[in-house]
Amino acid sequence: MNRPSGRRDPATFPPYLHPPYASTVARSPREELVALEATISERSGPRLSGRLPEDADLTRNAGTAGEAIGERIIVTGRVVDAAGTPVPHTLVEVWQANAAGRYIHQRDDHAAPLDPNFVGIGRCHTDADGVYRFTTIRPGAYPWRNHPNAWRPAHIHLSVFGPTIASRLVTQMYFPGDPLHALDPILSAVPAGARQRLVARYDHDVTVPEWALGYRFDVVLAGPGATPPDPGTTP
Amino acid sequence: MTAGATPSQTLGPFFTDALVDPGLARATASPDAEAEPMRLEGRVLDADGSGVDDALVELWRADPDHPDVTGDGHGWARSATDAEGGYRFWLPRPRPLPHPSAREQAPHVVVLVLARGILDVLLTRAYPVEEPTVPDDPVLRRVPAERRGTLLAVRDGEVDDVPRYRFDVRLQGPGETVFFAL
Ligand SMILES: [Fe+3]
Repeated sequence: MNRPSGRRDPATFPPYLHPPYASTVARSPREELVALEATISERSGPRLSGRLPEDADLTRNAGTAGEAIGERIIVTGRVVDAAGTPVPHTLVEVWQANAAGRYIHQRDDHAAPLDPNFVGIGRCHTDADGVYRFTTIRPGAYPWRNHPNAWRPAHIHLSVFGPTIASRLVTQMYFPGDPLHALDPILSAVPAGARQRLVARYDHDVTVPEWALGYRFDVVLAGPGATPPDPGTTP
Repeated sequence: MTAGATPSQTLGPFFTDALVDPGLARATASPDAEAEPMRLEGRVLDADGSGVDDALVELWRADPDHPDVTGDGHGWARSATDAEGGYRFWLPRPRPLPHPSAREQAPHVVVLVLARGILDVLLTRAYPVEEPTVPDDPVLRRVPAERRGTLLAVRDGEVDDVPRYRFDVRLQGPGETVFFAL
């Protein structure tokens, strides 16, 4: 019991307690997680195309006639499971700040302008080959109160379901070459060897001429780990 | 060669409108399944016992008749917490489920908790019970005996003739909820 496992590989996943990110201090479990052999409960999951339909163009989904202000980008990638097999027809949700670094949210009081044509919310389903694709604008960096002069690097929040509830992943995608990466305690909570996996790659083949720059962000979902030892054999 | 897994990150505080629709708090059963309704309610609490008012709680009810994936969102629900850290779900009462061992699993649902300050999805289970008595269950048996009670959703009256079960999630501190690693 209580050993590291596939879903919580300490070389990949951030620890729950990461004091430089202050909000973790009172919200991180202190007991060891209990190893669980995946059962039908963890080896199954929802398919959500019927409840949460596609809405994948964030530059035009504000319900206004207008278009969002900012540098138009395309974000695409493949969702695969732990074995590298594409995950088709799974829900990918995104949310992000606008080009000025402001969210439409009652708790966001950053003194940056709101864009009436941008709500910063999108969702799509991977296709038969596990590929998702969004059109949006590049989000701005924004300040937060974690420590003096703290700024979040530009990022897009992603929520992915995957083949089972055990593969559920919520993460953030960052942009290449951002000097704020090394200063960000949320990105830095990820073990150094895995951090670069959260940075999208500029892909000129995704870029659409005269229209939008392209970024590729592939998602590899961790699966359930090995069968835990029987409790009777654990000291 | 398989690429390394994508690391998780916090949900952050600004997800609400993106992810939450009041209609999502209701889990449904597939049309061919029995569907006696129940409610699952509780609070998400931090180390100080304060309600976590910006959490997202998700529920998964596996269906023994659909052991892989269920269609059209059956069995799944999502609720943001309110100002007191409270969440509430409507769902079809879970049924016993098979287990790799000979014994079946007691009825339960998977509960996922996400929030600002939580760097990876926290996964736990809620076992609805009429009395605070631990059911015989192969997964509960793996949990240290003194902590098994944190996984019980105990009957707490009813709302609109629907039985209500209370399941608080304590992220840290006395009575810390058991979370699972897969
Ligand atoms: Fe953010």
